[in-house]
Amino acid sequence: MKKILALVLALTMLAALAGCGGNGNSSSGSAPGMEGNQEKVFTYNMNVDPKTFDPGLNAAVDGSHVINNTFEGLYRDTEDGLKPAIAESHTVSEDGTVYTFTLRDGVKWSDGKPVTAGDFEFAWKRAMEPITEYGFIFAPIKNAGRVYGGEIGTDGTGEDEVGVKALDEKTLQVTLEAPCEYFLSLTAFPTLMPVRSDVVDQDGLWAKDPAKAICNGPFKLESYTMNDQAVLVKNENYWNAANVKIDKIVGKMIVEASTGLTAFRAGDLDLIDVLPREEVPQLIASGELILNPYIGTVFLTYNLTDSGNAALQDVNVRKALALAVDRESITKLVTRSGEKPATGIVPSGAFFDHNDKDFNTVSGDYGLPASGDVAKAKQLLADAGYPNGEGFPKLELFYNTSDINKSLAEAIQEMLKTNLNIEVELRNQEWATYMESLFTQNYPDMARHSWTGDYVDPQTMLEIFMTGNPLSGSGYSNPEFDKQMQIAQTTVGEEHFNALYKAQDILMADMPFLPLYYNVTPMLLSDRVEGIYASPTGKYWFGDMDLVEVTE
Amino acid sequence: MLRYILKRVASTVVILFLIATVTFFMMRAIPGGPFTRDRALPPAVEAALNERFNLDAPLMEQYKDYMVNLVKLDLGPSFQKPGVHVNDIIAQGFPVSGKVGGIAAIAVIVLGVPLGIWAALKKNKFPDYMVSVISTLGITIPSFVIGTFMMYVFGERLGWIPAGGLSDWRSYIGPVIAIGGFSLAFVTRLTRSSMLEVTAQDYIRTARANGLSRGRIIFKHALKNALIPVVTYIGPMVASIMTGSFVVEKIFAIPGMGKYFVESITNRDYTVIMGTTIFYAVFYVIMVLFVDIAYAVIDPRIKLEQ
Repeated sequence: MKKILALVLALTMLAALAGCGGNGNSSSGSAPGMEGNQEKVFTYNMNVDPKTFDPGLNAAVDGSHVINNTFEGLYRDTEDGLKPAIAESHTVSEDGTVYTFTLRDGVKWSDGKPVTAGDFEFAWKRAMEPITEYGFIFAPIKNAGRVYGGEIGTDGTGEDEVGVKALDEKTLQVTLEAPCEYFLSLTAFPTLMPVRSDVVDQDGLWAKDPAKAICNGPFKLESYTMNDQAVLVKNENYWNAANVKIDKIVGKMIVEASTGLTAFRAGDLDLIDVLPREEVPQLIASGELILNPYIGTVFLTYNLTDSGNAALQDVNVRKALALAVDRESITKLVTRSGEKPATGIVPSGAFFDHNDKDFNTVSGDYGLPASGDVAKAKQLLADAGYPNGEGFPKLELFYNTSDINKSLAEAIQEMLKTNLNIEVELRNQEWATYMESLFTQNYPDMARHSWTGDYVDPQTMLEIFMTGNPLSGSGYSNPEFDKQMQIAQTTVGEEHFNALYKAQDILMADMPFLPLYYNVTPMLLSDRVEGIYASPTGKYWFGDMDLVEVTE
Repeated sequence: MLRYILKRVASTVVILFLIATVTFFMMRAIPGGPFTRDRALPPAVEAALNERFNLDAPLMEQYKDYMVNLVKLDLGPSFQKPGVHVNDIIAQGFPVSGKVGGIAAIAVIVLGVPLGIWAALKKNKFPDYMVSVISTLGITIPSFVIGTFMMYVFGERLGWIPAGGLSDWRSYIGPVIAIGGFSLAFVTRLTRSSMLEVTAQDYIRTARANGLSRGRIIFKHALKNALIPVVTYIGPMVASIMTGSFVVEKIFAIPGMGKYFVESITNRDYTVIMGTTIFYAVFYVIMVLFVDIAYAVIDPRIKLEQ
């Protein structure tokens, strides 16, 4: 009996072990390159398994990389600027509120059916429902904000009619709330790409299922393996397929940055953009790393509500703190990933005004040098009634738990102590808890915050400081600022940018935040890749890319 | 025997119920939620999402609904992977983690036990010292160091193992060593010390005095008793390493289930937290049950019925 039992037991355990071995996947290790019948395969690291490939539901940059290449909107954001894509041309009404787009002849879905204006109307109305995370992007369109706010449905008429309408198969009419400087660039945004009403489902599962993922971009989904990889192949039905040179794109989901780098060095990957932090300075020094401007800024925010520290309500104190921080040292010695010292909220190199001048350059540094100005900081603090930091309350600096945030907070702690004799205590919270604290001002003094814009117009960076916007994290409110922002939101061209410059002047005079640095997006690219484009919103465009033979 | 197993299954159900309940209320007590974003969602959107995932119902009602579904083995939809069921997430991740962990578990048993015996028999001689040094290293060096080291030396420098992913047999070397290294070292040491303890006992001396062969003494008389603590450790270990490791799977880019144990908590993916916790708990108690049965098989003095 005993022996039989022992045998059964042993067999069960073995079977349990062996059972798991049966259906492991045998994918991966796809050798990149042009071997075989000259098939051009480009492999990159997506870093994670993107949440979705559905244009209407996506809210993450990893998903955008795929969607930007499997779908195509009315316009396309390319290296040479905005270009007509599915739309052949458009007209704008005199008052700047009605856009009429004419679709290109012969544009098809990957299953051969024609792309119609109705597909856009369907996709946009679907994506502005208050169930998506990115529906706010439609705000310039008439009544879209009300739909996203849950006030009205997308099927309203008269006053409640949503401003997007397919006049016929090839004509799409869009009515805006007011003239909008950046609306045309929005039509290249993933959320505004068309989808087919007969394949979509509520959760976006269709977009990860090769049988259902009908799309209209240069590539289409061939396979998807959860947490492992997604494979895209050239879409022969794409209107510009003749100019697409890549046959296949493999997106790996390697989470660990050092593994990604090892795979890149082994030649298994052509592109990686998340790197081990400790390797970055060396890669920058050797010139291997490409740094693209990005529309993100890291800063400290103050609690400016009644629950906040009284000392921080004084603008001179806030200015003193800002001047006491040496951003140059922070980017050179702490973060070390090519970040640029920030002197405001609008990053340099990404936003350009009506004269095609860099918004950041035109506005200047507002007397806030990158390396700080300790003498002036001390003076301001003394003027505020705290000579040499005497009588100044101890401050608490909140940050969300991570190594880099800790080093950053420690550097700031040290600088404020040395330069202004202000004691700073550090407190960290795990990410989700932290976010809640930040948006409800549930922190006493200061908190680390970062903001990444949604579209390429400085408005996206400044907007968060408008009264009542929780995203500022500070509870800041200034009617004068709001007034200029409201002007900017409803005007175009010179008027628009002048209002933004004025709004920024007001903001910087109030200093409701402490600028730290502007983010950049790093990119490590294999030598054989040509013509890849990474937009300031961080999206890759592979449609004009080619792989070339590299001779050593 | 059968009665014993039935009794154990009944108590297991109670344990699992308690684990599920405690996990449910503990995870709901942490601040933040599955829809916490770095760009706070408008109230209408958050309300719609909460309604869709039944998060707007009173907590007790949500608890009741969850437990009812759990009885039907329905672990619910993930919050972070829209439309994907937690059952599917486990069905996809476990075979991968289980394969790597299973190989590691076999390696631990097949290598660890004989090494321990060998060291015990050669006590205070060279083989003993060598095994001691290696096993001390195995216990003290954390898996992420072993993993990173393997990846760097054999993956990047020498190119002997692939840079991440699971493909041919070589790709298993790194993860198996990283995930099984600690257990292997621990089992070796445990077997050694347990073996030394047993061989010092009177009945072994008696057996030796009676002129039994050395092999017979070790394998028939000493080993059986010496294995009891080892088996105690191996049971839960199998459950632990077969459900994957967050760190090791990350380093070697393995699409297993280890990451869900950690990421689901960061993301407040409630159903995934529950699903992975319960899955691990079930696996664990089953392995403990196996261990208890194995006791009776190894040592006739242990009676299951008592």
